[in-house]
Amino acid sequence: MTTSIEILASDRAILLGARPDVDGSDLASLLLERGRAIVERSIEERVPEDLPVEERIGRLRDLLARKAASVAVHRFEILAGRERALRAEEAERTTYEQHLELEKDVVPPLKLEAKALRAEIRTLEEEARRRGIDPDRIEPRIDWPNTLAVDAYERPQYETNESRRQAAVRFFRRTLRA
Amino acid sequence: MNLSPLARFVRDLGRATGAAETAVLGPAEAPETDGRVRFLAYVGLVDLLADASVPNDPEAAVRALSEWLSAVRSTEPTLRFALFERSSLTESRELVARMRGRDIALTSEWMLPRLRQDIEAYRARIAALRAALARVPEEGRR
Repeated sequence: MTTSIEILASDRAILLGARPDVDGSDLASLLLERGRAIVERSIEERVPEDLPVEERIGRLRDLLARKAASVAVHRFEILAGRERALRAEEAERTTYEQHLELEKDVVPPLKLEAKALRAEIRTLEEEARRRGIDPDRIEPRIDWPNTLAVDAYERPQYETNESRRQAAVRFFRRTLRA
Repeated sequence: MNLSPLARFVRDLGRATGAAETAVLGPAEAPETDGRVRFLAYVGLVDLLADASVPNDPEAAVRALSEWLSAVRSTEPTLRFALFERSSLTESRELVARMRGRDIALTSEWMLPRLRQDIEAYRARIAALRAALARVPEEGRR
């Protein structure tokens, strides 16, 4: 399968700066060939000091290549994921503001209006009964089970820094008086 | 201080705050997944940097390689944690935005029209009740 490889541009620049002999146009194949050759070798985590120095160098190079590559992939994911993180942050902020606007400015007035109108209907129906009128015979009637129940609704109280400050001042005044 | 290319690469591994500009290499033949291909490419990249950076003197080479390996090992837990933390934060933000988005859609597209429809029905009922009451005076006023 033919694929392309995405790495950090700064890493590519370090490599091409250090190895001007490397052909940048065929870099992917070269890196994969080298990488596969190292990964296919059995890994030796230990590098005893009594090994011949060339063998120690070989083991250290293999270990370093694998470990540094693993860390480089983590770093790539962190940096490349920043775009997604920014989008998520923006989406969270936008939906928070929309939700707050709905729950603070749009929904409460409508629910309070519906609550007041429902109470008024009950008062008028009571008055009708008192005057000998059967309210159930007056059209249009309300299909109560199919309405939104808002009788117990109270407007939510949103705290601000100022309201919290005032509450603290009131608390300490009461405490000091007592 | 004039650092070797591999020393610079190892130093920069701990800096996950730099530019996120990426470079696309390829095409190449690779049956592996994207993550695996990237890992293999970085293994090759580090090894090529090692060619240009490891001192010729064998003992100095062992010392340099051991230092770089130790530096990489000490960087790994921090970076792994940073990756985990950032991905978790991003995922939880995405989840919150999705849930809130559903809530907003439910409120805007279902609850608000229902409330407005109810209010309209209440007003019509009130008008009808008032009209009926107006036709039948209170007992005291008969």
